Amino acid sequence: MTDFLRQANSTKMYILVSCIVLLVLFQAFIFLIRAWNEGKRSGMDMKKLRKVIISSATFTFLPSFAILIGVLALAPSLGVPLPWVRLSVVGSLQYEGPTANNMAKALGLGDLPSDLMNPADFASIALAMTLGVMTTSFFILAFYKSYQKKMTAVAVKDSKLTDTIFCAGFMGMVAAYVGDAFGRLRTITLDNGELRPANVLYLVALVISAAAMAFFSFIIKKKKAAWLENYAFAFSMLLGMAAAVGGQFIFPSLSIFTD
Amino acid sequence: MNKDEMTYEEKMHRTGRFWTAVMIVVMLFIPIGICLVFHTMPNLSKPFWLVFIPVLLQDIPSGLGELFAYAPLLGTGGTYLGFITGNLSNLKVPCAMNSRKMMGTEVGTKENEIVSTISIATSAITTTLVLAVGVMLIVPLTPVLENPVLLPAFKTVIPAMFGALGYKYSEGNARVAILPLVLGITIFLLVPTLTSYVAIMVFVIAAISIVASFFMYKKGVFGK
Repeated sequence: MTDFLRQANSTKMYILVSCIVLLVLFQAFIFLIRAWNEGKRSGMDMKKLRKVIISSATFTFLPSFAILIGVLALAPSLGVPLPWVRLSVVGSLQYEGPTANNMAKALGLGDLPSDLMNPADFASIALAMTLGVMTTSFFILAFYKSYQKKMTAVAVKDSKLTDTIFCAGFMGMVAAYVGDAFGRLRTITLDNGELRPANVLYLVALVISAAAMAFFSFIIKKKKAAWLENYAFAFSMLLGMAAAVGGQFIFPSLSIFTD
Repeated sequence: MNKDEMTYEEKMHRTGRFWTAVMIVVMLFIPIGICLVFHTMPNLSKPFWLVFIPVLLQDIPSGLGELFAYAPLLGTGGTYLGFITGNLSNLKVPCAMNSRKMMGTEVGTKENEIVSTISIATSAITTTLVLAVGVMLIVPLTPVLENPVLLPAFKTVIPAMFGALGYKYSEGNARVAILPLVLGITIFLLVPTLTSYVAIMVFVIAAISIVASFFMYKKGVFGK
């Protein structure tokens, strides 16, 4: 381990990051308690709200491991604490890696991980990763309240139209990821000139998890297995991911990951 | 305004704005703390700005796009918390939508607000705890998480998530769902290089779907 990495993984860095992560956890609990109490005050069915908690936790569990892998992927370059905090506060896997890599290249460090990294470069990368994503927080402070009021006014006017539009918007988001799985069936040349071979496993995971969800929905309705509702999503995801693992043995030439 | 006179939504705005402001300050402590720990200053030479300015120019429209696209789906409390804790499109939005669908709540209602906030708070707590435990157990976990046989499982988390969620949302909304799905599949099959820009394509396809569904609704395609 280089001197730089020793410092990046030092106790001081862990203490700094742990304090921030604890603060994030604290405020999440504040929002949770406020919403929970309001639900109670409004006479909502508390059993159903408990169900929201269980299903949200099970829903989040597997994707959290993908985020943890993001931390592991950046750890050899930036140590553990910085990626940990960047992916716990505002950050997202889609933004953090490319920002760190581009900055490292610009600073003359080459591709990450780099033996040339020094503390000043590390501070520059941390600064770029932090300031970049902070813009959204400023937008929230500046625009969200007035935007939300306008949205509510529109929603109250015609609730069926609002529901249709939101469903379409969300399906648009789903469709982008469904399309992505199909797009990966084709071999392409990436912007950096590298060849990315066709990969069928994205589609395998997508189709199997959708089929599993269809099966669980059927069981929930026909067998009145209400308990399954909380776990149907996590089970479906798990089956989709397991199918991708199995798929690499069936389609070895269509199972290469390059990004 | 007196605290007791405030509606739930107004209280959430107040709490959310307070915590967003706090987190802006706290986030600044990351680079400041690093400078203090390493006894150094960031290298703010020309190459830094040559990368940082394009990053910023990319973050501004994507930040605005995320706010306008995701906020209506997340509700008031959910929006503030979701944007503070991040991982929106790959976790918080799908999680809130799953809870909303399960509970059958309608956009714009107080019940929807409460369900979304509870869902996103639970999701944020779960992720934070998994990451914290994962970091503590990083030595024994690394060989498992980096096992090449398991690589396809972790690479396909997102398609597995959207496969299940896509089915759940299409069920009962098939007429609304069909256009975005056909559009998404066609675009990516015709221009596969767009797979490198999926985060941007999410907004593009969602925006097209919203506009198209508005006109289709007005034409009575989805029934009365």
